Amino acid sequence: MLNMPSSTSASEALRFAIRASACAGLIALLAAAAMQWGPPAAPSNYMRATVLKNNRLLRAGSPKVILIGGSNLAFGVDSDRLGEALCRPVVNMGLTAVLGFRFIVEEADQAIGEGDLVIVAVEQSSYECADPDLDALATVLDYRRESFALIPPARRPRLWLSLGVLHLQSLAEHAWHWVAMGGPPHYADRRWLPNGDLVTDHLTAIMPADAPAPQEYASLEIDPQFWVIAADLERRAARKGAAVVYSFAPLAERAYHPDDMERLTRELAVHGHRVVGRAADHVYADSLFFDSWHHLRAPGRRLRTERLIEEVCTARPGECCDLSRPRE
Amino acid sequence: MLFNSFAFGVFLPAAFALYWWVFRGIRAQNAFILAASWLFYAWWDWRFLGLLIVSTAADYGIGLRIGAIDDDRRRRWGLWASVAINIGLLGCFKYLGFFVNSAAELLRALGFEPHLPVLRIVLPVGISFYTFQTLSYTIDIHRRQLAPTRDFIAFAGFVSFFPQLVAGPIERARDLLPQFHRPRAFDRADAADGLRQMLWGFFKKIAVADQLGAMADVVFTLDPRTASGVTLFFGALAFSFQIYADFSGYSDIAIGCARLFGFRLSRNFAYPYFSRSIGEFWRRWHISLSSWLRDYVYLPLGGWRGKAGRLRNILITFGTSGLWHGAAWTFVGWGLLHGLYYLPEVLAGRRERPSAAPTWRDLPRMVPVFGLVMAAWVLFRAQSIELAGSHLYRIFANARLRPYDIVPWITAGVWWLVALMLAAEWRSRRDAHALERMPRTMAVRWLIYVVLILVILLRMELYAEHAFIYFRF
Repeated sequence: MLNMPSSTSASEALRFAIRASACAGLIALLAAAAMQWGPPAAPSNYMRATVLKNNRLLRAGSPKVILIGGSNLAFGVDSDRLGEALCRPVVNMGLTAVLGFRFIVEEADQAIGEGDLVIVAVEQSSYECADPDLDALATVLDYRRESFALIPPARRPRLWLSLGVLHLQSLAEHAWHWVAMGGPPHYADRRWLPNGDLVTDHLTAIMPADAPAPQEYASLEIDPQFWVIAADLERRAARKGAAVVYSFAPLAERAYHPDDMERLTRELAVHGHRVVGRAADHVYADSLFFDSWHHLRAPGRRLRTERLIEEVCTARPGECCDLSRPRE
Repeated sequence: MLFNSFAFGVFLPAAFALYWWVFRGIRAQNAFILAASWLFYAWWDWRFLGLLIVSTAADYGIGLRIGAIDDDRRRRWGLWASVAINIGLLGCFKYLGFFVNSAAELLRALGFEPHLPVLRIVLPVGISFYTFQTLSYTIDIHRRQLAPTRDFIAFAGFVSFFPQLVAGPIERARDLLPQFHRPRAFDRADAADGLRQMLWGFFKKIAVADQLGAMADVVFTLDPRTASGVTLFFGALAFSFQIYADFSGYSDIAIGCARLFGFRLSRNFAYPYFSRSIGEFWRRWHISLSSWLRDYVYLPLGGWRGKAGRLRNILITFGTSGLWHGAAWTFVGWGLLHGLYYLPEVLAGRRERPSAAPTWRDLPRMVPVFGLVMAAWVLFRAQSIELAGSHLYRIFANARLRPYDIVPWITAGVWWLVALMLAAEWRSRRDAHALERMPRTMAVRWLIYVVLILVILLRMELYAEHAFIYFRF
């Protein structure tokens, strides 16, 4: 065997590779079938909202307000009230921070037009890591395959693999529920408003008083890639005649570190980004949050919306048409 | 690069294709293996690649120097230089923080107020493995058991060979290095068996170890004083199977992967949980480390000579084994505890000998051995010796056999997979791995492959990247 000519080795290796690929191909076929005919990769009304949000974004004309960020926006802004105050429609694109800042920006960029105001309010995790969680991103792309165009080509194979595996897992979960419980699994119905806000029964729940302070907010280290993407957004917006401003994601008192937030504000300014308001004004009582230190309940949502209006109208009076309405 | 990552899923087929179809001839293949291995290592953190290259170059040069001189005294100086470099690297990156902290605690206990720096040094992945591997090379040359190689590419390939670079098996130069000097031909049957061994390794890692890990992580963060005995018991049981499935799974993937490239690596696991004595356990668990410590620590200390010496040497060797695993007293305690377990066998005069495969009749001897090993794993996994002691004590002190305590643990789906793993390995206990003997009918074989792959995919946690436990050693 050791004296076998290398051409024999190569052809033997080729035959072996073909057989191994056939096995992998069989699995890929099963995954493709699950993707085609099976349930969604991650059956959830939450991720499905990407369709609603993108449709609204692409249909809304300019000028408009585009809110970009993570779930803090989904739960924590009253877009209708903001739209009334700023005299233009609001598209709330906030879904989840783990999609990564690049993807969030690319989504918004599809429809930025002249006179638009882009309000960026991302969570601390987006400053710290601009990269997406590819598996979470896959669940969003599963509902809206057109969004693959927003992903760098080198990342797409990994996302397709995730999608295949997630579909197989979802199919197995559905099958198990059929066998064990005689029906498909139940997913919480979340009532998304047409403007992209999320109003559910979660808004009445309260974060437990003894919930520990989250460790991940103990220090802030900004990912240099964040500044690259932020500068890119500014350039693109300026080219299209739109403006970009930065606000702050709401934060619970026990997760607030003033030094970090002051440093963030300074660094935003140093990098030439316009900041409206102060981080300290977006620190809310712990009791105004429900399942995370960024997710405001209904009273917090009202408070945050009014503060945002006031900040935008103070910093950019031209964008604002209504400061006379009494606050709730 | 992790074996269970998308990057490796791209890397392996590409490396296989280039190796067999583009880089023909031994020198080209060796150079390619080296480049691929360095890429594999640099994927984790390219800055530490320099450390690997320094260690490789130093031992290559020292090996040549020792081999070129006859004077024993000068040869010994060469050996000490190699020991100093390798142990120095390990000491700096792995143990410095531990020793500084321990010294500070000791001084505090003596009433001093030490102002020693708090060191947070990143541990280069695989450093414990490749330093031991290169160290054995120079020691063997010094002992005149091995001739130094002049082929740097082959030597660097031996040190950096990617399937076993980061978590073993710890190969001896006399076994692996000659394989870099011989022409390699593709053997389809061997490669197919290698792929099956990888499949079994992935099953153990992803479908068993990662699932059990989630369970063990929960239990080992609880306060043992308030947790129920049942919970603590299942936590210990889960970790015992997790670490086995994780590490032996890694070894199966490594050995199987090497076979795809025409290399044979040493066996690292031989179904250790079917052992009938602690001595047998150590002949079946992490075999490459146990035999390394036997040859380079235990025997040079005097081995079996004299009863007192024998006991001392065993405790030193097991203590070293514990310290090799990690810079913490829990690991040292774990090693010493195994040493204590082993002493009765030594005092009874039982010498190591190859034993026949276990049968069902051996079950009464296997269960207590597993119990002892499981108790020692608590020490290995716990955050401190005190917590480990409390964990073990509370298993009995807090034992309340209430259905609502037990049912959630025993009904966890992962135990079916543990049972499947044990059943398959029991059936194959005379084989190198569980999928070595397959049904003759191709359809049945393929069905088994597809089902195993599906089980792996269905249990895979895409959102979390689970590194192998031994990567941190």
